[in-house]
Amino acid sequence: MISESASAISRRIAAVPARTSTETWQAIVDLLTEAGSEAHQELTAITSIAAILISEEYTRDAPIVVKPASGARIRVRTVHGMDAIEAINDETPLYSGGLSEPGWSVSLPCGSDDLDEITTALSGASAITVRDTSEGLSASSAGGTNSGASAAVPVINLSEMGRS
Amino acid sequence: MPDSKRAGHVRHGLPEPGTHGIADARSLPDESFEAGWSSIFLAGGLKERLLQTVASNLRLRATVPFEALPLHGVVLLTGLPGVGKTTVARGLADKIARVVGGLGPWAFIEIDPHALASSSLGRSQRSVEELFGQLLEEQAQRGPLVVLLDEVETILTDRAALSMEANPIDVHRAVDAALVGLDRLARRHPAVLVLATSNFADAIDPALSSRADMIVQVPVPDRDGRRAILEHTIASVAAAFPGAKQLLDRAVLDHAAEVSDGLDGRRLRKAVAAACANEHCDPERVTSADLYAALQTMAEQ
Repeated sequence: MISESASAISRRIAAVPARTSTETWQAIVDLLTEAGSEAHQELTAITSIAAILISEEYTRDAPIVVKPASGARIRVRTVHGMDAIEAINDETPLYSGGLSEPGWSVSLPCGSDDLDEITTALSGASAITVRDTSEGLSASSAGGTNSGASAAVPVINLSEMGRS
Repeated sequence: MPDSKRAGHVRHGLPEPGTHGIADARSLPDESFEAGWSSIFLAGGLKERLLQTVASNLRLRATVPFEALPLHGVVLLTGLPGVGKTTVARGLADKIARVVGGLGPWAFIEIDPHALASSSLGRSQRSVEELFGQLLEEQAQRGPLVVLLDEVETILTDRAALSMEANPIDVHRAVDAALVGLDRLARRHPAVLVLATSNFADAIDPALSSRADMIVQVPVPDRDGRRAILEHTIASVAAAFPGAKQLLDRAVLDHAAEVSDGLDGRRLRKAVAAACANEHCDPERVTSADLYAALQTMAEQ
């Protein structure tokens, strides 16, 4: 199993009983997107499918892995049971822009029993995929960031430095 | 077109206005910050040395391991009120974004330290942890970042000077959280620059001072500095009110600089505004006598 990167962004969203499964998915969509955006519409369109995964608690055992067009991956887990009652007060917004740019993708966790059915149901949503929870995080989502900024080497513009 | 709006220079995903603990968030470079940098006059090449040190440290931090060269990317600007610490910080942020390339679009985030302090036990610590552990961490993951901690003593209060009658435990924990956050940013993100300012250097926790790569005491301007500030301010007024150009006469500026000993940059600029509030309420008709009188009044206050 591939371990989660320390540089990825993580969020915990309260689920049942603090919210219904449908409300939980809506909270996740609101966390990741701006209302009215294309991403918001695409994710809202799969609410019934995502609600199944939440109600089966697959999203508690493995994260929803969100890959924005740029910047760090976002891992969202749901919190269930009594912990959800407290977790709903500890939720924080994303400070990294979420899915504000086109080119994003989302990987949903799913148990092997439901995998074929959910995969078929999601076949029309090209940016949204489903993976077997027993496989851990997919290789394509294991990296910390898309930007690669931390590994870049600064270039000093000496002519600009001389300008007051 | 503003610099920050050029293609490839816009930083997406900045915190929304009104985000708790955030006073300002914008892409860099920024024209208004650049104007501030141009208006700052520091004797002895201090401004140039500051820029060179910060740029050089960014390069070092990107290539030399933190364990070998523990640079935290923290610059502490201290000095009396009105000497221009915040303007220097914002201008430096803009200048760094123009000078240091190859890292992607720069972002600027100014912290509102007063929003983080709370009388509720544990709330300050939680706010600070959220700020450093989530907001700044996530912004740093997106690319190079300048963080301005204005009035840093509000967050990083000297723990040794805390009164036990107040709520020292919470303040202790908040300071600890801020220091842990600074350390984590420094180790994980070599392209994060933290600029901290304070009017009360003695009130800052020594642990912050020890982490600062550079501590700069921004001085009250000397005669040449006062002259340059007055000239810059008057020229800005004269651009809109050409009658004020007579104040740019060399002899007028020399004398004005002479009689304004002890005034900081803010008072000098306000003196120019006060001179314009002459009996005609007309900057077009401002005289050298108006300027000298305003400076004298400022000096006596």
